[in-house]
Amino acid sequence: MKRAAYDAKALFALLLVCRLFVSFAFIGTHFQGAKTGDNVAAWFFLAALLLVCLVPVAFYLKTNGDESLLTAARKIHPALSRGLGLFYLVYFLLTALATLLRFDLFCGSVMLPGLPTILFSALLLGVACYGAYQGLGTLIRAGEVAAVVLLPVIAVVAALLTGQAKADNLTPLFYDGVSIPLSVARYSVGVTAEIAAVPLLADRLKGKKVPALFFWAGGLLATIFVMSFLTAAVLGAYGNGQMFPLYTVTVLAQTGAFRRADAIQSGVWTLAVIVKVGFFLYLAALALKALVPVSPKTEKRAPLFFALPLLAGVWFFTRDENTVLSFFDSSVFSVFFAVGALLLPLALSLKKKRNIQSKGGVL
Amino acid sequence: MNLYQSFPAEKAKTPFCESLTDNLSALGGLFADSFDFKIRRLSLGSIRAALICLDGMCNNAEIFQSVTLPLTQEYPAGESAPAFYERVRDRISANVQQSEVFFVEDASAAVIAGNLLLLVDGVARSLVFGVQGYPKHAISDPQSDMQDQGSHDGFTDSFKDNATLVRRHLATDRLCIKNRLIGQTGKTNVLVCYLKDRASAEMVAEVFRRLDSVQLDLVPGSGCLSSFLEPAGWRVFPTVGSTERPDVFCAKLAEGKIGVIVDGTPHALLIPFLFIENFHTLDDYLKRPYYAFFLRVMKAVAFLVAVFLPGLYAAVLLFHPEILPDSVLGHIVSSQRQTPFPVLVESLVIHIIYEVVREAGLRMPKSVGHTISIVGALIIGDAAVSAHLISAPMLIIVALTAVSSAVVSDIQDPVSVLRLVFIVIGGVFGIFGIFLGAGALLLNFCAQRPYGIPYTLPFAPLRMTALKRDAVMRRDWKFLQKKQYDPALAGEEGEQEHEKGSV
Repeated sequence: MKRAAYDAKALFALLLVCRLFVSFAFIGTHFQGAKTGDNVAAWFFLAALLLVCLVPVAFYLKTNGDESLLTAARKIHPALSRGLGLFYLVYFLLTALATLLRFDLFCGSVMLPGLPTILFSALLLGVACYGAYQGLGTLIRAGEVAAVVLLPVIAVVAALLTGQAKADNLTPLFYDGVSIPLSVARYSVGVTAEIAAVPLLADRLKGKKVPALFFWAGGLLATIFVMSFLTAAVLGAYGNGQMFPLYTVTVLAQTGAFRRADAIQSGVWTLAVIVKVGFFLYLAALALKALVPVSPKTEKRAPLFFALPLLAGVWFFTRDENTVLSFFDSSVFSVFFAVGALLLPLALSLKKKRNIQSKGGVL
Repeated sequence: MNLYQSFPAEKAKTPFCESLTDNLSALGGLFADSFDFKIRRLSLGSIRAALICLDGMCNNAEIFQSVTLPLTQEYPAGESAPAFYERVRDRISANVQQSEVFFVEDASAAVIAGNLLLLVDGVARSLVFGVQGYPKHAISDPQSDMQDQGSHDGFTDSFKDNATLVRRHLATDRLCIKNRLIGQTGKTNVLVCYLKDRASAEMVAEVFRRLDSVQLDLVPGSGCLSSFLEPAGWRVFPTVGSTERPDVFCAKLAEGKIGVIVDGTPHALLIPFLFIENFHTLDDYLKRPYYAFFLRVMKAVAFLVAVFLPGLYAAVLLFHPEILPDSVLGHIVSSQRQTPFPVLVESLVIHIIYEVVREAGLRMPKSVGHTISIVGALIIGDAAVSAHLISAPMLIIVALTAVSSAVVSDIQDPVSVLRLVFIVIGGVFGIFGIFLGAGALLLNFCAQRPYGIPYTLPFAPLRMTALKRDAVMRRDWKFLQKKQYDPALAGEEGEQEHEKGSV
């Protein structure tokens, strides 16, 4: 079957957009007792943790870079491939659901309160399904464009907020100890499902994959730092009780005739959500193909089949705000991340390495 | 190759026989109800022959000069019919295009195309003389694609004239112009033009494959073929370009594109066509580079204004008025309060009225068209504001979008529809809806890969070299001449298709 290969840098631009949405929709009140300053402190742990967590995937790309993780698993045993297919199917659908829930919560809380958010979720899911249906190439190109739009918007908002930043708002790092920053960092890494996606798409990438992976991490960490720092420096203690501190800070950004930049900013983030949900639906379809033999046509249409359960999930969880928060709070994402982004790539890399060494080859 | 033997063989053809009477009966049967079907019988010594044409389709002076006169002057007595035929074929009338046909149906097609047939008694074939002389427009300024500088030549309705114009602008033996006859009933001449060392061989083959698959009865214009030349799937913006200008056409051929000229229309097609090319004009290349950059940015802004401004206006007023400063908001609200309709309805109605006026101006004769524009713009607009039926800010928005959409005239049709769509979703869902729609539009853009080249090049995949060289910025000609052909823009450095095992 003829499949397109995409520039690794382009995929990582898409992944950057996907992951940044989590930071944007980070729920400040989620961690009880966490202050805006703790997010800045957490960044240092996040940086260290993220770089460590990239090692298994980087190792996989180095040893097995031309082969998808699911293909590698199938070569070991077809049942393993099916098992991993099921695992990743659930993982990616959960990630898509979490993204939709975050957006739903954001819409219902601050963007368009009072309106039926399930309708927004349904529309958004429809557009995301269209993207997933069109395939990886479409999503990667859309991700690149979204990155080109999103990053300047973040830069402009950051520039507008610089004048409002006050040193008084910043608290000393680790003022309240390390447990909360560490907890925030662990959570932030746990929801970085994008890392798990990379080994699945290894065969679809060309170019320098490992440097691109670390470049992505660098860009992500830099953007998160700017966002966290400005949130803390502009909002200070006021941001501690905010549901979406980063959104709150964009409300304060103003320029010339425009008094507030939050609507534009929120609109731009909508692009990120579309791309992210579409991407994870595509990945779920890829995992489904490993789980059960499906025709290329069914594989292409699979995202459409996932739409209904996802929408049902959104409806179920958004009936009560606490249910959503408890869904985010559950350690299920960390577990999936640990297995899908760390253990499996590492295990298959080691297996591959052992195979090569047993044949007398050099890695 | 004989053009008139390339028709699809939907049924068995009738070969010519040696009897002139029978051949004339066969041809006459096909044109029995055509008043303009003319047969002129000739007796050239002992040889009986006939000239056949459609009156008005041939150049009579050319027939006389190149065919009738040589035939009647040079026939030696006692020559056999086949020998006479061969002498005519090989020696007489060398100054007109000449071919042979062997079947009645092919001869009929040749006659319909404006050729003259020579049938000789005792010879089971016919000579075709290219003496077309049907009425056609002279070469003049193109009606669309107006440019400040550049050639005043525009394509005409005649494919032969258009081919000549292309040859004149692109004088190289590497220029290939191949012919196809398309249309089951109305056989329309279609020329496929490309530079053999620039255009991808696979792309050329694909264009021919798609043209050969056309089963239309008639090809009334080049737009009919666009949908056959575009990739499968639904798209908002065209992936096949169109131009009336031979200079633009040739410049695109030099970039490695493939051009298609359709007989009977001055609009030539260009394949493949990227989205960014909608913002390029010939003037960009003839003026100073900084001005070209300014023009392109301005066109991109005009495009965004034309598509999104009315929708954003409705969204901001209905959902996010806090964005605007109090003074601006105050003026808008006070003006809006005087009108009876909600913003969404008012916006929709006024834009639909604008489209009606535009369409009327386009379809009416030019003199009346101007009157309609004045009536629409001044009388209706001014009167509606004075009567407080629409607000003045809304009229400003309409005027801005109308002027902006004229800047990107090549994509005015999709822009008109998208504008209405964004008004509705902006008015119902606010900025969220606008960005949701923009996201869907973006995905539709990104899904297009006409002939394997991403439609969104050079933005996605990002090609900084192309962006800086000629796509957004336009470098100086001294720089551009170093490398005439940009593979990044043509897609060679884009996403590569290759064999890979799937999961």
